[in-house]
Amino acid sequence: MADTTFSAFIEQQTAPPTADLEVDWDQQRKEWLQHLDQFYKLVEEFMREYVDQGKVRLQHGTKKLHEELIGDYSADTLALHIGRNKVVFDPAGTNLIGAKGRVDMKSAKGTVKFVLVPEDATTVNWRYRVAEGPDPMPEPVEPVENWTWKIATPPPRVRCVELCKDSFQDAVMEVVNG
Amino acid sequence: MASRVVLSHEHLGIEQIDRRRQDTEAAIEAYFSIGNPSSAQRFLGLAPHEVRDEKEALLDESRRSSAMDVFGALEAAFRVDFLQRCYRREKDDISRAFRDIYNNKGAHVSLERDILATWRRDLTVPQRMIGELTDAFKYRHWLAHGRYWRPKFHKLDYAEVYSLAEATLASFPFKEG
Repeated sequence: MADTTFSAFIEQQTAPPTADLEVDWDQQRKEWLQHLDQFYKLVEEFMREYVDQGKVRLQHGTKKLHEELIGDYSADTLALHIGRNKVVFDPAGTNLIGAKGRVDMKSAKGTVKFVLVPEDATTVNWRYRVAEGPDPMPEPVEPVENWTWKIATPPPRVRCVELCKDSFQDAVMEVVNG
Repeated sequence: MASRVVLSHEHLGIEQIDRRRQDTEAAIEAYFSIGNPSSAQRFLGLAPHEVRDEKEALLDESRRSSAMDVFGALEAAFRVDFLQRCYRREKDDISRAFRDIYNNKGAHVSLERDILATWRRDLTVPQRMIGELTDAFKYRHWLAHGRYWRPKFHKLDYAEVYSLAEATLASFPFKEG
């Protein structure tokens, strides 16, 4: 009896994914890294005036990421040096709930999360996948045409706020000054 | 003569506490599941492992709160027993010793220094358990006083606290109110 049950368990765990649940994670990772690059370009654009004046210095780097279903890879990082303060942009990954990517902006007094979400998102209804167990939401999800970076407000009622020069500068002051 | 403590009869039994803990944990599991209609809003942008970490942290805190309630139920059992033995003027050694303490201190006695220390003299109750209770209540004090210092004692999990309470309530000849 136990053998039969265990055999069924092994079959279930090793069965190939059904077509509608297949995700090309390699492609997903490439797209996320392209969006990450665009995010950094946007940050540089928001800060250009101050960088040109020599009041803000940019520092590029890389970090190792590990994500469920994707594995290990490298992603670019960015830091802003504003006087004695350092503001770090820490990429979190792409296998996320309701978002195609996330970057955490961290400094001494806090963290602000930037999320890559559908263009029309204020709040989202999406699905995520976990390494173990059956997919919890089998219904198909409409493909998203346009992804855009927004600021996620803190939980529990997370909302997506437009990312523009003003909201970005507010966010930088928030993580530096508290 | 100290005025008598009027019992509220509102103290919870450990079975009630454990039922509530189970319901709370089931609610937390449901809240952190994809079946929660607001999960996309609550967990937007989080990776699956981050959601699991948040859930485990919340479950840990919930279990610590439940452990505090079990400690409270246990303390209530010892203190109600103490008062009953004092008020009923029973003739056994423990009751006599408790009355001596009560005559000096009234109802405001220390659980560890007065009540548990007195029970140590009664060889009909498991002595090892009194030592375990004394150690366990150090953990309770640590929880109750904000955990601001690094403890040198073992931090019990909920199951250990509940088992100790269950064994204590089954082993001590408590007088109920």
